[in-house]
Parts: sequence; C-alpha cells; structure tokens
Amino acid sequence: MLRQFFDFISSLKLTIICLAAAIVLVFAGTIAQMHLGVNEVQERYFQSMFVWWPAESQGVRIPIFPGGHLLGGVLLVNLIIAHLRRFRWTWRKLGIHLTHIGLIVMLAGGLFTDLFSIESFTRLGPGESKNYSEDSRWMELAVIDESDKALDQVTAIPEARLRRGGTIEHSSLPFRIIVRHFYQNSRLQMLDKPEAGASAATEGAGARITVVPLPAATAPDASNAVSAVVEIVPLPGAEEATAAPLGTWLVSDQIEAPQTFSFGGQPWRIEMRPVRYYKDYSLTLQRFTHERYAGTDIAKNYASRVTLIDPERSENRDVLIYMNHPLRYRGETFYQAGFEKNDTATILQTVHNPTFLAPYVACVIVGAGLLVQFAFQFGGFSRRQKAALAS
Amino acid sequence: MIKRLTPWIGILIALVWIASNSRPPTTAPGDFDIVTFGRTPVLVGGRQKPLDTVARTSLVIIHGKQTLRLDNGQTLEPTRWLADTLFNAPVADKYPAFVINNPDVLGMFGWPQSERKYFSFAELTPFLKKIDEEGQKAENIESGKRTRFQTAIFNLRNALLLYQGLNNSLQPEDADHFADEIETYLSVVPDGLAATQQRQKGQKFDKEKFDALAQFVDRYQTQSEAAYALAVPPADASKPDEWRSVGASLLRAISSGAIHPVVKAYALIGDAYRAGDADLFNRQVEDLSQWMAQHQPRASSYARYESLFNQLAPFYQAMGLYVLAFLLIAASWLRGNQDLNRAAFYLLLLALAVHTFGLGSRMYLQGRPPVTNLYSSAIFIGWGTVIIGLILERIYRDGIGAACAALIGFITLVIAHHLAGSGDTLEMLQAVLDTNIWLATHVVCITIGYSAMFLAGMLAIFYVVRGVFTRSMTHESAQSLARMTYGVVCFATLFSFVGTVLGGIWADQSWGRFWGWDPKENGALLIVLWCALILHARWGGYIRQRGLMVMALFGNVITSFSWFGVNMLGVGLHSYGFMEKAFPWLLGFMLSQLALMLIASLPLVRWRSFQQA
Amino acid sequence: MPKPYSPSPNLLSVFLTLVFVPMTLALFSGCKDKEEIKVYRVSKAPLEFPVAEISPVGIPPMENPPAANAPMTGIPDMGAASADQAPQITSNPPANWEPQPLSSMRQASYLVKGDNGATADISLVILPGPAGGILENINRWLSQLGQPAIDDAKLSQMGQHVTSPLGDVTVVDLQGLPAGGNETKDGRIVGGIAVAPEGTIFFKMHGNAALAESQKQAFIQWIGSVRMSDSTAAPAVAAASAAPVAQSMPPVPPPADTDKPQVKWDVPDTWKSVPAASMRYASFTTTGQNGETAEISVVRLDGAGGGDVQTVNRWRGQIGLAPVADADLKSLIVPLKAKDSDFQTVDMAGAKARILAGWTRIDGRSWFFKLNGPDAMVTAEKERFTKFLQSVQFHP
Repeated sequence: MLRQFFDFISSLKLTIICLAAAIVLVFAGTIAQMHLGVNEVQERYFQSMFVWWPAESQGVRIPIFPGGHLLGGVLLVNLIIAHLRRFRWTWRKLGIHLTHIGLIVMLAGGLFTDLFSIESFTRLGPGESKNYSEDSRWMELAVIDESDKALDQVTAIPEARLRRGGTIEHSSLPFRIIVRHFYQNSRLQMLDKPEAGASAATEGAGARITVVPLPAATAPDASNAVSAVVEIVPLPGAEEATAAPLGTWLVSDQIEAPQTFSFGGQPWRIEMRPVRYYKDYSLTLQRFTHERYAGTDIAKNYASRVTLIDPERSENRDVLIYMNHPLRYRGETFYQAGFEKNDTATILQTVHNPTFLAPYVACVIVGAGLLVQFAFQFGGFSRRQKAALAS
Repeated sequence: MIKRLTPWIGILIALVWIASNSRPPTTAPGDFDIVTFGRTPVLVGGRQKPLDTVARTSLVIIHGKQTLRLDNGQTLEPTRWLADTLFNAPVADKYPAFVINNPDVLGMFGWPQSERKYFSFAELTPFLKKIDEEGQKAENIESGKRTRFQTAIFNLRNALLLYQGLNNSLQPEDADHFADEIETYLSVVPDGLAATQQRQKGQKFDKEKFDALAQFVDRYQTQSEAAYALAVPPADASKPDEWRSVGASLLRAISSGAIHPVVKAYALIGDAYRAGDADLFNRQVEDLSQWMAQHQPRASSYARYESLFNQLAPFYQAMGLYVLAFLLIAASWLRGNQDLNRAAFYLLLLALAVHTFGLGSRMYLQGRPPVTNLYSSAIFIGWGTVIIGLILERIYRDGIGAACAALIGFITLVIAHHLAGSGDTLEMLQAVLDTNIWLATHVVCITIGYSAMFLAGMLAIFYVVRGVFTRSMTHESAQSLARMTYGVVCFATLFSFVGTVLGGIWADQSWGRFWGWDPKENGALLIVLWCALILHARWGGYIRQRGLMVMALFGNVITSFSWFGVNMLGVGLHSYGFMEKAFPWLLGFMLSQLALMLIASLPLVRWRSFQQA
Repeated sequence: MPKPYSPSPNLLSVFLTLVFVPMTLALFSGCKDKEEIKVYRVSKAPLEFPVAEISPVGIPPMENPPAANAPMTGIPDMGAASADQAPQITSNPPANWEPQPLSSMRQASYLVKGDNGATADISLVILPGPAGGILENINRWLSQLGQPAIDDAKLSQMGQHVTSPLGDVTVVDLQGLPAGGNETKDGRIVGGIAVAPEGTIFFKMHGNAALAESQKQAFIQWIGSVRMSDSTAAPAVAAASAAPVAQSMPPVPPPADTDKPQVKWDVPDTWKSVPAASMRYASFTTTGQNGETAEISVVRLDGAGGGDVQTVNRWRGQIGLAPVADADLKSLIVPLKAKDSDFQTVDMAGAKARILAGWTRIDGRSWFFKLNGPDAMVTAEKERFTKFLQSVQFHP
C-alpha cells in the first residue's frame, strides 16, 4: 500500500492534475481580484492550503479547491520523489533534469519567501528621522512603560491576539488587558461630551468618541481601520498598586493624541499602530523629488535623498534611493515606492527577504535546462528533416 | 510562360505601390508649403515631435481618424487642418471635426440622432459651458465605472480642450497681425515696467502705461496656460526638455528686452497664412526650419525623420502586403502552383522588411527597446510571428508557415491601428518603466512568447479547418502540421518562462517582491503552466495529434486573456487602461476558439480529410 | 514514446497526499506565530542610539542606557557598547555661538544667529577609523549643497591647511544652494577634516552664506582651539603655533592583561568576577535575594582620564540625574583613604538606580571604580564596596 502511495505521488498523472488545478486556481484568483483586491486574494487563494467556502465564517466551512500552498507543495513533493525514484540520469535527460531542479529551487524559494519575508513601509516627512518601519497590513497594540528616563519598554500585542479576545497577561505587564470589543473595520465619530451609551470607553480619547463598526474592507485599495476597546485591570493581588480604576480605553490608529495612564506610580502609554520593526540604524529624509516630463503629469523619476546613521557601524552617509535603485543595508532593502503630502514625504518599501536569491538561481538553472532540452530536440529534428529531404 | 511570370508581376505591382506611397510629398506651386511646416519640432507631452505628428494625433483624438472630410467632399490633410487650427480659428471652427456618436450627448444639445457623426466647433459653441460641467463630473468618476454617456461627454470635453489648446499654442487664439502686436508689446514694455515698479513702491505712476503693459501680460499669461504645444525651444542646451509656450516666452521678454526669434517667426508665419500669402509663408517657414536645424539640431533631425515616418505609414503598407501575400498562397493551394508559393514568400519578406523599418524607426525615435506600450506590443507580436512563420515555411515549404505569418501579421496590425486611438503611440514612459534593460529583455521575451503561442494557435486552426471541412489534409500534412505546432509550443515555453522570470526579477529589483500575483503576472504564469501542461500531457501519451491541436487552440484563449484581458480588469500594477470597445471583440475571439475546439472534438471519422473515399 | 508507469491511485494514496503535504507545510508555518507578544526597549533619545531587542520570555537586567538628549553638555557616549570613556574635547568657542545639546555623533555643537533669521550650524564629529576619507567627505558636503564632486587635484587647489592640537586639518570653503534649499539656513559649508589617532575629526559650519562668511575667521580660530581635554597645554589660540601639543588620549587603554599583577585588592566573597569588556580593567557582579544584580567595574585610563565634573555628570546622566556645576561638585565628594592612594568618592541615587563610585590618580594613570545597580542592592553592597576600595593597593 505504501508502494502504491509512492507510485501515485511520483506519477506524471499527478503532475498533470496539479498543473491543471493550478491553471484553474490562478485564473479564478485573477478574476476574483476585480472585487477583492490583491492582498485578500493572495491570502485566500494562493497562500492557503484550501480555498474555503464561505470565505469568512465562524461556522462550518468546506474546502472547495486546493489552495496555492497545497498545490505548490504537492508539485514540489511530486517532482522530488519522481526524480529520486523514476528518472534516469543520462546525458540525454540533462535538460529535463536541470529544468526540474531549477523548478524545485523556485518552488521551495517561493514557499520560504511566503513564510519568512517581511514587507513593511518606512514613511518619512521632510527632515524626519525614523529607526523603524511599519507593517503594511497588520496592527499592534503597544503598551509602553515610560517610567525609565532613557528607555521606553514596549509590549507589542499583535492584532491577531486582540482579535482572539479574552484576557491578555504577560510577564512584562503589571496588569491585565481584557479585550472588550474588537472591530476589524470601523469609523470613529466625535461626540460633544461623553455619553453613557455612545462613548466607546470610559477613559482617554475614547470617552468622546463613538465607534461605528463597518464590514471588513475588501475593495482593492481600501484598508481596514482597526479599533479595539480594552479594559485595564490590575493583576489579582496587586489591586492596591493603583488608587483610581483604570477603566476601559479605545485604541485605534486613527487616534492621534497619546493616551496615558498611571499604574503603581509609573507612567504608561497605550496606542494602536501599525506593527513596527525597529532597526539599529536610522534614516532621515533630506529631500524627496518628483520630476515630471515637461508640461505633463507623467512621472519621470522619483528620488529620495536620505541620510543613513548607524552608530554601531559608524555610518553617517547620504544615499539616493530612486526607481530601480534601492538601498540595501544590513539585510534589508529599501525601495522608492511612493510619496504623499503633496510631494514632500516619501514612502519607502522595506523588504527583509533572506531567500531573495532563490529565484535568480532557479531562473539560470531552468533557462539552461530548457535550452539544452530544446537544443537536443531541435538537433534530432533537423537531422530527421535533412534525412527526409535527402530521400 | 505567362503562368510562371504571374507571381513576379504581383511582386512588381507591390513594389510600385510602395514606391508611390513613399514619394516625398511635393508642394504645388503657389501653395503653402505645409510639409516643411509640418516638420517643425515642438514639445508635447514631454516629448519633442514634429507638428505633423501633433496634427495626426490631435485629429485621431478629436475626429477618430487622421483625415478630415469637409462638407464639400474635399479631404483635408492633417497638417493643413492643424495650420488652420493654429492660425485661423474662425475658419477651423467651421470644420466638422468633432465626432459624437452617443445619442444622449446629442440629446443634451437638443439634436436628434441622425446620420451625422461630425460636428464643428461653431455648432458646439453655445453648449461649451454645459459640456465642461458634465465632463468634469465624469472626470471625477473612475474610468471603469462611467456610463456610456459619461465616457462620451468626458471624451468630448477633452477633445474641446485639446482644440482650444491648439488654438492657443502658437499665438493667442484671436490674434491677427500678430507680428505687429508683439512689436507694439515690446515697445510698451520699458515704460510699463517703470510704471509697475513705481506702483509697487507706492509712488505716483502713469496709469495708462501701466494698463497697457498689464493688458498684454494678462493676455499672454492666459495664452501660456492654455497652450497645448510648447513651441519655444530652451536656450540652455543642458536642459533639452524645458521648452516654453509662446506666451511664457513673451512674458520673459519683459526682463530680457527681446523677443525670441522663434516667436517672431511663428508670428510672421501666422500672419502670412491668414493673409493667403503663400510665398511669404514658405519663406518664413524655410527660415524657421534653418534656425531650428542650427540651434536645435537633434530635435530638428528627429522631427524630420518622424514626419517622414508618419507619411510613409509603413504599418499600413505592410498590412496591404500581408493581404496580398495571403491571397497568393491561397491561390497557390487552389492551383497547386509552386511559383505562387515562392512569390508569396518573397512578398512576405518584403512585407517583413517594411514592418521592420517601421519597428526600427519607432525604436530610433523613442530611444527605447521595441515594446513599451500595448500598441507597440501588437506591432511586435506581428513581427515576431512573421519571422517564426517564415522560418517554418523555409523548412516545410508547403505554404502553411507563410499563410499563418501573413494572417497574423495582418490581424495584429489591424489591432494596433485600433489601439492608436488615444493619441501619441510614442508616448513617454512612466518612471517605473524607465529602464531599458528590463524593457529589452523581459518585455521582449514575453512578447515573443505571445507570438509563438498565437502562431501555434493559428497552425491549430489550419489543422482543424482543413481537416474537418476539406479533403486536402493528408496524413503527411497532418503530421507536419503537428510537428510544427509542437516545435512552436516548445519555443513558446522557453520564451514565456524566461520572460516571466525576468519580470519577476525586475519586480524584485524595483519593489522588492519577486512575485505579487498581479493579473499580468498571473496571465504570464497561465501561459507557462499551459505550455507545461501540453508538453507533459504529450510526453505521457495522454494527447496525440488532435489533442495537441485542441490544446493549442485553447492556448489562443489563454494568450489573448493574458495580453489583452488583464488590461480590462482594471486592477493591479499592470492596468494601463480600460478598453470597453475591445471587450466584445476579445470575447468573440475566445468564443470562436472554443467553438473550433468543440468542432475538433468531433469523432475523427467525421473529419472530411480522414474519411475513406 | 512508451507510456511511463502511471497506476491509478487508490483512495488511500490520494488521502495520504492531501494529509502528508499540509502536515509538512504546517511544520514550517509553525515557525511563525501570528499571536506572539513581543517586548523590546526603545530609546527616547534622538535617533543616533541603537535599540535593544529582547526575547519574548523575560527581561534581562538593565544595561547602562546610553545618555538621552538631556542637558549633558560635556560628555558624549560613543555607541552602545562602549563603557565609561570616550575622547573628550574642549575648545574656546566665540561668545556668540550658542551651545546646543549633544548627541552620540556630536562632541560639540553650536548655533550662530544672524540677521533676518539667518543661522549657521557648527558641529564637531569624531568617527573612529578613516570614515571614508577626506575627499569623499568633502564631496558629500558638496552634494549636500547641490554642487558637483571634485577630484584630488581640485582639492589641493582649494583646500587650506590649519594646524591644530589634533593635527593637520584640511579646511575647505564650499558654496552652493541645493534646489529647494532654504537660503537662511543653507548655502555654504566651511569645513575641516583631520585624521588623528582618535579617529577622523569633522569640523563643520553649515548655514546661510553671508553669515558663514562673517563667522569664517572665528570658525578657523576655533578649529585651532580644539584639543583633547586631558592635554595640559594652555588653550591654543591661534593654530599657527608650531609646537605639537601635548599627547592626546588614546581611545582604548592598553589591554588589562599586561599590567594586571600590579594592583592588588580584596574582593568580597559575594562578588563574582566576570570577563572584562575591552574598556575595563576588571568586572564583577553580585546578585541579591530577589534576583536583582549589581555591577562593579574597574576602569584604568592613561593620563587624567577626563575632567572630574564631566565624569560625574556622565554618571549622573546614566541614572537620570541632572548635571552639576563645577562649584557644586565639591559638595558631593567624600574622600576615602585606600592603602596607598586617596580616593574621591560619590554616592548618587537616581529614580531607580544608584551609583557608588571612587576614583584616584596615580602614576600617570586614572582609576575609576564604580558600583551601580538598583537602589536596594547598592545599599546592601555599600559597605563591601567601601571595604573593597580601601583594600586597593597599587604598589604591593
């Protein structure tokens, strides 16, 4: 029985089935992008094991089609085992072997990229310095201990944890955080004064804001305005550490002013913001330029001049980042991605991808393999043709 | 003897036809030398181009085609229409230039829909405000979501803006005796300037002199804001892109004290044109041409070449040649005449040469690799397919390769013609595309892949049509078709794969992500996957001849989706425009291929070629 | 072509495939937990300071935090790992130069104000190593002014040389306003670069062109006045004096090992010796009842090792206390007699941490003994530390 399993998993039939399924999946995903947007489709169709129906539901969901990871995974396994078991290693088959090995590298590389690469954005206004980049999709709830004069201690609670709800405890926090409400998408409206039923929270900015929950945004360019209402409760046994009740707080990226409270005589701050990836160096935007072709609105070039300051490595230099010319530094790459605030602020796409070399290597191998294979075939073909003409 | 010569006579006719089209245009004595005028370079859309191009592309946008037929039946050449528009607005306003097809738009003017499609500016003048309002409302809506009325009114507004922009490009639209006007202007500048300065310091100033200058300043300010073409070249050679409008240049005269010679030249030219003085016009145009050659040699020589290119219209000539070639091959099949076949082959070579000349000229004028936008991709697909088809023909010599080449060459050029409707096909590239290496490698590879897929699909069409509907497909010819198709599919696999991966590498270099599941990327991936499927299915014995053909037909569907269809989704990094007119055609093509696939699925005994006698 | 062996799968194999692959992939995906809570520390200071990222499990003991942008006018910290010592400079700036807060990159910082809001920013930065080379840095300044780069030949034409206590300084006067630059703050750089044992030293005046012109003489004179703070030479006024000035301090003291046997002391039993970092002569830690730790460090420097008030203020900054003036320092110091030397000691408590320190100078060297940790720990260890200091013998 095990032999039959291995036979099946290394069979050409399986390859064909997978290729056909992949074609259907890619086509369906492309059409779905018209109303879902790239990120959503990526998650549902290409970076999942199965395509579920209905897509979002707490209840019963059935898998209706294999997803990208499953198909890619099966193809990878199929390819590897077929090579090990059935292929003959002769010179004539060199082309095919090279092609398939290259494909293995590419599929594996793609898988690792999906799992391990981190993409974020660094937004800089003119003259602004930052030593962190922000995730493009996910939020975090940052609970910050401001008691030290020189260092803030940040406890970053990811959005997924908040979405799960319940009580959050961590060794770094002298209190508990209870998630009272979590809104995947919301609209915040100001109130004139705190109102019992309408106010989202009892403390901080939330007292004057009411939250309108919205359905999750699926249109291509739309993003979710994530908010949550959390209650801060002293740990059991430490009630005496604080005199006043800590109450509930509304946290949202749209709340600009800092929300602070005191616990045990120490100052704390709480905010919801895109997940931050801090670095050991900083970038300062000197100037962003946006050249257009004379008399038109067509962009000719975008460029950001930034200063890179790294005290650990004593770097203090200016760098020009522009289209097709990124900055690569300490394992991260910064690309000129966009701009805002009337052409004065720059948005740099920041990518950390340890397996970025895989596609390059794979391309070379597969290209070589295909060339060899078709050269062989063409050689054989032209010999036959000559023979046919001669006869 | 005559039978043998007939094919060569065909080629001779073709050569004569090309030669007659390529004659440099001559000016009748006593007529305005519009041709030299058309060669003058200006800057539009960030690109230096001759007035001839401006004329043609403007007419395409406003009128839907390059030539204008007047009410009296006379046809107006583009450059002549442009001269009227630039210098003689009252006359130009009466030409029926503006195309309106949409009945709701006509209804807005209170006009019933009739046979008439073309309307003049004069007729539209009472409704300008309304058109502006409605057009602006339509502009605020995303292009994919506009109704037909909104799209039509949006286009009409753009056409009117373009027209008025042209009116104001070389002079304020109502200028008459412009040369005198600017002299007068120059003479009031010193006093007017003094008066302005006194006024600024709060001193007493001469109001008359101040007003005199202020009036001119207003006038030229308005003109410079409205101008569509920037006509005055920069003095600074290191900044070749900084052309100015005539109005802006005149305003600079306040500080420089002198009027730019080009402005003066255009003023004199305009005056002469309005006065009907052809001699003066021609002399001034010649002077301007010499000045440009001396001070802007690069712009001048490129403009000359581009005018020539416009006039030769190589792609239309190639179209005609492809049709002729196909007819010759069809004749060679019907008559079994090998000479016709050979003649067709040489004719195709001639067509390819013309096609190549066009492609090469575009590369030279733009300074870029051959494929930069959808229009040029269509041109290149045709070119690539013709080359591969001719190679096949050389190997098999049965007319199939040549026939496919001719057909696809013709069809892609027709598609290209329809894609030229948005104006300048040599447009400047957006920043992200501004890299020649990737344009030359990734884009060219992918386009060659498209060529090969379409060729394989065309071969499959031949196979099915010939095999099902005619008796003429022997087993040998079926075999050779199958071998051709298989070879072309292998070729397509190689180029599509390499092209797709190169695109990924480009994306990785540009924005750090090798693969983003963008619709265009997905389209390319679909082609690669489909080719892989064909090869694996064949290798596994799951398909043979007919299966290969059916899959190659579906390859047409996938490739047209990848090339055209993804642009209609309006999503992602690759969406360069929503083409609602093309959609029914695309759909029709895909359905036709599916129909052929169904037909091919008929049991083999039903195929006329495979039936026993 | 023969058909390859391709059996029809039975249901079990299909099922196994559908399970086998997801399981393998799940193994990989397990590496990334989307709900993991992370804890880390971020400096409140301006961005030249690095960030310590800590594992999610616990919080390691507090390291010496780099100084914040507090009003610390004397002592910069060079990078995270460096201990208590960095090249320190003194100079004689003109009266109209307003001192500005320092950062880890700047050893001196001034702002000059002129008419109509014109400003010029003056800075002194020391980077270890060649820091790119003189020509490259001048070209960097040129590009900041929107000017094209120059080559060595041009540099030798336009550069002038100024002798200073730190060595030969190449001085250039660069003009240019970058596109979109602000005229009141930009348009001219008068700068000097010197290569010294401490590293590469950058003197820079960057500001409004006219204002920089008016300050140029004073700026060059100031360059001539900058020296390492231990040098006993009188403040050099005009840099033209020929005599090379007194030895400046090397940034890294000779490795402790070579001289170790010379000093003897009695180390309390509860103190654990730990490997000393490059700056340190010796290092100990001790742990309290609740797991808190206190740290004892011994640093030896050649020469005067920096001014007393600067050193004390640096320590004060580390525990979040405001600096003291020269005059007030005396009131903080408690003298202590050791076996063959006299120590000056201070006991300073901040919000959460406390420092007990003693220092002495002997044989042309300075020795700094420091105990720091949470308040409770230091209180517990104070007696032991005092006894330790008293036991120190330099000439056993």
